[in-house]
Amino acid sequence: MTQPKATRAPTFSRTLKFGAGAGIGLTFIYASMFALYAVCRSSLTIGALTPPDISLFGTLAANAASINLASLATASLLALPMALLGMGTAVAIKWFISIFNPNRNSQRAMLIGLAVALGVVLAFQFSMQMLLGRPLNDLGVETYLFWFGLPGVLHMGAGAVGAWYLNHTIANVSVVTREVNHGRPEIYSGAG
Amino acid sequence: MLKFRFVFLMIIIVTASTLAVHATLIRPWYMRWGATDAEINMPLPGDIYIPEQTVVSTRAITIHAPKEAVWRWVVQLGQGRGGFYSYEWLENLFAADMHNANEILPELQQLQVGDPISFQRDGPFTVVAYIEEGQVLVLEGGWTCYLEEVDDTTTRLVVRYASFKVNSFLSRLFYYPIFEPAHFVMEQGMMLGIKARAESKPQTYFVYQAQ
Repeated sequence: MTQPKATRAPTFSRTLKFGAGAGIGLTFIYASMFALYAVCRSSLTIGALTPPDISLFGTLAANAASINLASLATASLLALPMALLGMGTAVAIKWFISIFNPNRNSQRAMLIGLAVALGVVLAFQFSMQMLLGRPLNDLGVETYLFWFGLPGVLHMGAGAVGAWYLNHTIANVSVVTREVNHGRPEIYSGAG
Repeated sequence: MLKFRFVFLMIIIVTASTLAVHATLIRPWYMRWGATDAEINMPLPGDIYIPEQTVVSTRAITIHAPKEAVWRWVVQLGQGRGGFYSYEWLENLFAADMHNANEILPELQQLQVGDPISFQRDGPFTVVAYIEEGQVLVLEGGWTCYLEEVDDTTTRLVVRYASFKVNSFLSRLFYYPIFEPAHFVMEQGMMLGIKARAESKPQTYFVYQAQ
């Protein structure tokens, strides 16, 4: 007989931690992806135009290091608000899963995660619009996509995957709890 | 599942090593990118506009074009004008609405002291503090573009930049890891952009078209 794998229940604090970790992790992943793109694209220009009296290797290295540093530093500043956003999303997803997904269906959980993350993204963009005092589409297509559009899509993807994970964990905990309690009839009888 | 603690540790290690490499090797080099010792130490007309408690960089590049040809590109710098000839795809991620010109714009060839030069649409701008036709353009705050004739067909473009005041913990936190490296990327992009345009090399044209 296979022993059920010990699974830690996604308590409120663990859900918060999971959401914070996902928020911070995704912020750094996004910053790294941007840095990679910017380094590659600017390196093409540098490679084609740097004159021989300036070190091409030095310029490429300084350019890459500068883009990476600025991206990492900006990501570090954004990590705290993104952690809070991740915490809020994770708690909301867990709450909605517990209400609307009693059968622990994975696809349904992912759909719930996607919907909750979409709600959070829309609420965030609305708040930012209020804060900036002008419509976000005034910023220009590139600016909107970079600061709000792509991170929003990433957040929704993470919401769906995170919901699947939380649902999976809850389902596993239920199985373990049932199997453990099965050997202890006093739990059901109320004895002891 | 990958442990979050491991991921955070990796982030801290990557950030710390990037900072260390940047401070010891990269920064001292890029603050004087392309400039000779003589160019770094030479007084420029914009020096009197540099406030105290700022960080100053001097960068230079050789352009194989007459001084007058280079000046035509320098004088039309600015958002809503000829652009900054740098990475406009990068500038436009920050609502700059930048469009780099690839031709000389006759209507922008006259610049006077007090004329505004914007960095971003509806954003911060500065004004021309000093101008010497065909030779030097100084913006308020001390940003100087200085042209030095090497011979009839070669020019040195020397750019001296003074930062905003870096005198508090927050300003240092923003300036050193974010603003300064980003400014180096954009300024060397600008200088390469001016070089490409002034030299009008057909093989490099596509590069700044793509920007």
